[in-house]
Amino acid sequence: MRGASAGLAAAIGTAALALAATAALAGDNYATERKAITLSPAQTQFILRCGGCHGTLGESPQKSVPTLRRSVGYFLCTPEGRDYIARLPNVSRSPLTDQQLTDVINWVAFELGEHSAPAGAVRYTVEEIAAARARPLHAPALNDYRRGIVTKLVKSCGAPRAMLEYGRPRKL
Amino acid sequence: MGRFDIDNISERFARRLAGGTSRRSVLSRLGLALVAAPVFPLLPVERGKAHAQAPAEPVLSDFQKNAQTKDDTQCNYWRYCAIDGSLCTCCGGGVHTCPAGTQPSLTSWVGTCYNPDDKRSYLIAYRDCCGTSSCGHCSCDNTEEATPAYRPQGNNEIIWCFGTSSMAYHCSTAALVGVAS
Repeated sequence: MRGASAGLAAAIGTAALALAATAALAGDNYATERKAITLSPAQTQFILRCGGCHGTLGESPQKSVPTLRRSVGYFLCTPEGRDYIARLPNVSRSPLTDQQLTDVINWVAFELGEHSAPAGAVRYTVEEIAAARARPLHAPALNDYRRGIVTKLVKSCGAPRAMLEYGRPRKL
Repeated sequence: MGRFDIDNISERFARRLAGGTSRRSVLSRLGLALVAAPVFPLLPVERGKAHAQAPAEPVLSDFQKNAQTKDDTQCNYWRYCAIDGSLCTCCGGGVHTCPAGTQPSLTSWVGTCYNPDDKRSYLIAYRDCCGTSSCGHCSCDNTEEATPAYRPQGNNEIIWCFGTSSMAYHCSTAALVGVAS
């Protein structure tokens, strides 16, 4: 576990995980608290509401949960992709105000997504998010709907093929 | 010369003031003001402001009232405010490390726990250790901010072993993610 977390930290190279790994090696719980980074309000809400499944650093097991880090910004490449991530059931129905959700989704798309958002992509506005929440996605076949959107992102926007892993039938 | 000769009026006022007050009386009044000032330290407005600036005492939940920061093998250790399952600290692991032979889950649920020592709230990820049968020691069930299972991202009864090779649950860790804001 310690070796694994140190390896992961090196791969991801973020301050947060590096701190956690350092503390794990030191075996001193108080050091962890002293060195803990203060998260921004948007990051706090992301970790609290989304980070369990998507990973606190946006790294998740791709087949079970879509990975956001360095990927999620590709959705902003097409109008339907941009619309899709704002209207996802757990996004649009999250227990956040329109302003909070706007801050979180912008943080996710532009910070967590790193450079995956296209160069000209604009940030979501509160009005846009409020409108998206008024019509949440409830397509029964949500995985199929996602696959259609992501296939286009892979073809036209240079999105990684790994984004198609999610929802793919497992070999039993 | 008009009726409102400002020069004359102000001259008369200044002479009357000079004749009627001594330097000593000015000093004594000033002194009195200086001595009396601390007796009335704050006007009500200022007092209200001062109160607002003082750190507000948080309203503590039952868990927070009994939480301690020393023994991470007890259910009331502060980081366990929303843990459900066996503590990995009783199963050969640590507060954020899995016992040998188990695999840390890549998914978890995340809660906010209050540290009574430094009085800050931290985000805690309850990462399960998976891959072998349940450890069974030190079973705890704390439910701060827990949500029903249809809001699974806040539910602690779910076995969070997604992404590992086995869904067999062994024990739970409580990794500190950062300070909430």
